[in-house]
Amino acid sequence: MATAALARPHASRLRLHRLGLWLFIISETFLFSALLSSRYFVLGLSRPRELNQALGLGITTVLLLSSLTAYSAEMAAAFGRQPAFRRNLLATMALGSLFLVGVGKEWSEAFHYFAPKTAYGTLFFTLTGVHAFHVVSGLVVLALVYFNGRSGRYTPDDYWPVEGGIKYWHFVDLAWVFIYPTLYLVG
Amino acid sequence: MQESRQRLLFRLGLIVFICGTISNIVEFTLANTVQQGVLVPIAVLALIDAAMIAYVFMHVTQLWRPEE
Repeated sequence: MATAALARPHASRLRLHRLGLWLFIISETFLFSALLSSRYFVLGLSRPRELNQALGLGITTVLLLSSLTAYSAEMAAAFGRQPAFRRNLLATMALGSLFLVGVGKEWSEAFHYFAPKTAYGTLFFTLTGVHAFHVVSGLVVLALVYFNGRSGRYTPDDYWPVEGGIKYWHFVDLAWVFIYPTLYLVG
Repeated sequence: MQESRQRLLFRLGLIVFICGTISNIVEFTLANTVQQGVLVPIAVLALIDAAMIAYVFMHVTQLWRPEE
């Protein structure tokens, strides 16, 4: 009884943290929804044929795999398995960086086919650019979590920074689930 | 007990990854084989993917589940 009473303030704080992060994620969803809908508003269901769809599929798989390693890192932190936590978090950061390399390659190819000042170019570079910025900020957050976690700062009872950073990373993946078909497939 | 729970949770994550990858491949194939009307099936697949990520990876149910 006494333990439950002592634990309650921490649990309530955790609920508030989670609610705050979800509100932030919902506000980010509006940003991506506006960008995605503008693509359909401006171009309808057409798209340029020059886009490298296979590369798009490849980087989508890489990002999804990074979500799996991030999930494994979170589970490892929740169960107090520090080496597995660090290993999976490093793998997530490596895969996120690989995704950025893929986006960079796509950009270098895309510049040849459609200039940023064209309608499709504007939408393509804005959507992928805003998303890539989110990937970079996610990597920074994960790197901070990793360096704090190296000293054993997170315990199974208190690992909110791990959970929060990884939730944000999953959101980055979730946004790409809609960006990939919108830019590469529909049309 | 804890070991088996960990394994179960990891397996669940793996299932989401495999389903997501299959879904992406199906979207890719649809876009390259079907000439018209791909928007709806692709949107449905993307929504299923997103729901799986939100439910399993992001633990969205924590928001309304009672405290453990």
